[in-house]
Amino acid sequence: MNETMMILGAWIASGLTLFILSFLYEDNPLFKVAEHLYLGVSVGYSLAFTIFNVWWAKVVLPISVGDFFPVIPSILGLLLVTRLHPKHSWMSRYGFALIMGYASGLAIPATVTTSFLKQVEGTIQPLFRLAGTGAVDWNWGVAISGILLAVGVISTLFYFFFSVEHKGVIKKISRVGIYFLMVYMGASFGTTVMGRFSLLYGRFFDLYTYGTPKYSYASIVMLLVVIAVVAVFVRKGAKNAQENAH
Amino acid sequence: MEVKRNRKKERLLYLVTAAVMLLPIVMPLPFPTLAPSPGVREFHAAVESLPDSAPVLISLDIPPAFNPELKPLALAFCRQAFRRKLRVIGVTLNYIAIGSAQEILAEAAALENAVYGRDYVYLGWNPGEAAVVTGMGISIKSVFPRDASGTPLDGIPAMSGVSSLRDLALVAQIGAGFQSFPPWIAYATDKLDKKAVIGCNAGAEPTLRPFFSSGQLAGLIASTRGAAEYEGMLGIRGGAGSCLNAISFAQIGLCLLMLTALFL
Repeated sequence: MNETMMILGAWIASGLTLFILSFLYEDNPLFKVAEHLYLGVSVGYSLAFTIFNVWWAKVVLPISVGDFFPVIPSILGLLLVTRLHPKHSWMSRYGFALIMGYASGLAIPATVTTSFLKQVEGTIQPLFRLAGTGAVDWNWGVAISGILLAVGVISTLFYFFFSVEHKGVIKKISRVGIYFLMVYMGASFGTTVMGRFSLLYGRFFDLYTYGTPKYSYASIVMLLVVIAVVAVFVRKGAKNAQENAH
Repeated sequence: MEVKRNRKKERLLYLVTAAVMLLPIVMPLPFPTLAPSPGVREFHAAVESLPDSAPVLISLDIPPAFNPELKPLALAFCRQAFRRKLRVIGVTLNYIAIGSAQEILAEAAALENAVYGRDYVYLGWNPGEAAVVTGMGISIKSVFPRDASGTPLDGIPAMSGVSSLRDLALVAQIGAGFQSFPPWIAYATDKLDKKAVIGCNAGAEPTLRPFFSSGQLAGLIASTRGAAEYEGMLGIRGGAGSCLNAISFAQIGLCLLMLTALFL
């Protein structure tokens, strides 16, 4: 039974992967089937998970054993739905107030300390250190890196300072900041491309694995099916376009 | 006509990309020996320097879409932890990552003969992300009174002596997307002064690298390349090395295509 399910899973996985990839050639019904299935499964999974692992586990079960504390946040959460009815939408403000307060209380200290103060501390690096004997511990790499870091941060901050018109010296400094931003954007784009290639490798590796006799040549058969369906669909589309032209 | 020609060029590009990605899969190439980069060295050292039986927490937040990129890294970390005889406590903050988290822990345990309950435990998932981390900072049992299979934590040897995040020797997180990392950096590292290491996807690296440079993170492994270097340090021939081969081919092929387009 396990082996049958494994093989069935391989057929479904390879089929849906190829359906999605068929969009690269032309939009077609197989792609639409896979796309709608993906959306439906995502929403269905999220809904089922929320009902059984959040609502049932965190609200219904505690209330059933006499712990009524979850009632208060549950009511506040349900009141959020009143937002849909303008006459009664004032009731949703209480739930939103709790959400905003909780989110701010959690996010602000974290953002101020972690993303701001600690980063400022990390940016201000000494160019050299004094060793215990009074001698200077100098490293060219550390010194240049520290200068580059300080110049990059300050010039980038200058670029985003819009209270003063960017002209003269400020314009020159903010232009340096733009170059640093461009380097960051390029690095970010490059790493994203690399990440996407990793994901593509994963799909291709699975397609290759599922094309073996162990999985009854699932990928190969599904590929032929996709090619056949797309060919028929494209031919039909071309024929319709010709008839419409006449 | 112009649209048709462009569509043909696009399809050619897709075919070339597919071909260069498939080549290393169909004809596996030897793995390159990569010198480990700074974040990877520190990551490895952070785990290696821990004493025997030290408890470490691993937050496995790998969405299924990022399995090819992050699963080899997660497996390698768990294997290193099991080899070092550390007690691994697994959690998940991302509800769609629960399945892959259990799979990774079980697979690593099988490879290193680790026993559930004695060497590792999987606590599961709870809603709240940052609230889960802050709650665990006070008391793990208040957030996870039982493990994922319903066993009370008191009866699990892997959890002995661990009542909150303060009792951990190391906090690790392997996940994708920048949004999942700030709670651990803010509430485990900065607030509780715990050593933390992170493994992330390539897209999150530029945003997380400053946290490693500032010393907030003890180690950072990003993308398939970092995972391949890490596997090399551990002597593991895992998925990251073969993935890196394929990516390298694809990127070289893409660069050659772009250069061809520029000059022809």
